[in-house]
Amino acid sequence: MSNIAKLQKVGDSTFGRIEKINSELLTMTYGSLVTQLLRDFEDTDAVNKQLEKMGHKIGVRLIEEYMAKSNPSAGSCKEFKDTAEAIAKVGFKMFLGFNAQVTSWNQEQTQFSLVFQENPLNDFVELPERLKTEGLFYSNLLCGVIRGALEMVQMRVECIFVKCPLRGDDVSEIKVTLIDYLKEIVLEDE
Amino acid sequence: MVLYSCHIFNRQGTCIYHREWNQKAKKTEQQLEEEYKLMYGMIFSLKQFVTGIAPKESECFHSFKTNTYKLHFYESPTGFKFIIITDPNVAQLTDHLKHIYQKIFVEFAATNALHKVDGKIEGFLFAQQLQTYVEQWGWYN
Repeated sequence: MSNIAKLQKVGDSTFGRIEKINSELLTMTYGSLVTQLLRDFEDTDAVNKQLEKMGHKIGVRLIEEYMAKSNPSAGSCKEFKDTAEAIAKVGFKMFLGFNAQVTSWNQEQTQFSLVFQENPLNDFVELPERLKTEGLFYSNLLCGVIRGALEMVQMRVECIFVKCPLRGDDVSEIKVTLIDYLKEIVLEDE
Repeated sequence: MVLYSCHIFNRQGTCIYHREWNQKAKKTEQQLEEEYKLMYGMIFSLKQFVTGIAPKESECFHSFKTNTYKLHFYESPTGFKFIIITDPNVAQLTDHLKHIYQKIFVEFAATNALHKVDGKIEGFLFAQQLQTYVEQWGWYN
């Protein structure tokens, strides 16, 4: 348990240090991004996919900032379990300003759920019934961010949004599944 | 004490940044390509060897030296490899390499929207910052 407390501390101190922007600005910008996507693609599934893809591109860069600023030597991730806690306590805190809970581990310890109540991206948002039934995950970008970030540290994962308060659930839940560890690539000699 | 060169490799083993100081002979493009390949291959094998023979779980190597130069190595958690070659009398540079990663690479390359994630570092700011940083060392030339 002490590891979690330590990570929490790392998260808090990093959050205190890094530059911040107004959360409403982020919320509004993100909102207009999603509406624009909905207009452009017209298909909810395509929008979900597009958001995930954008997140992935963010994630592969964000991880560098995470590594450089959080000074992860305090809680380096030897196991997938540590990774989960680091995302929830440091990553989320650093970039979104709140902590998430890690729950629902499967037996092989390769799958967990990130559960969180707050989500600044959801502020002021109300989904029309049509989008609710068609299955839009408004914050699907976050899935992509996690996937992209972990990919850069040699972990291939799959992230799926399972619960979202905008669709009437009580909390947000992202399910993360570890697929495999990527190996370092050897140079090909021609 | 002098500084000779700095290389940065991405995870695919491509050299994304290279800069030389205090060297007279100008290398041709082909020689450079050859050098990158050899260097990455050597670092890769040495790393595997070093961690492979370790009796306990250990970190990777920080530097090695010959009688004419010393090679300093740092790998970011995301797999970018930072290599600096200096003359053999220079002390451990690990903290400096870390600084280059955290404060220069991340700030001026990784978070630069024009920079491709695994692409060559072309931004002029990065080069400038790196130059300013090594100049602070006083001994670089």
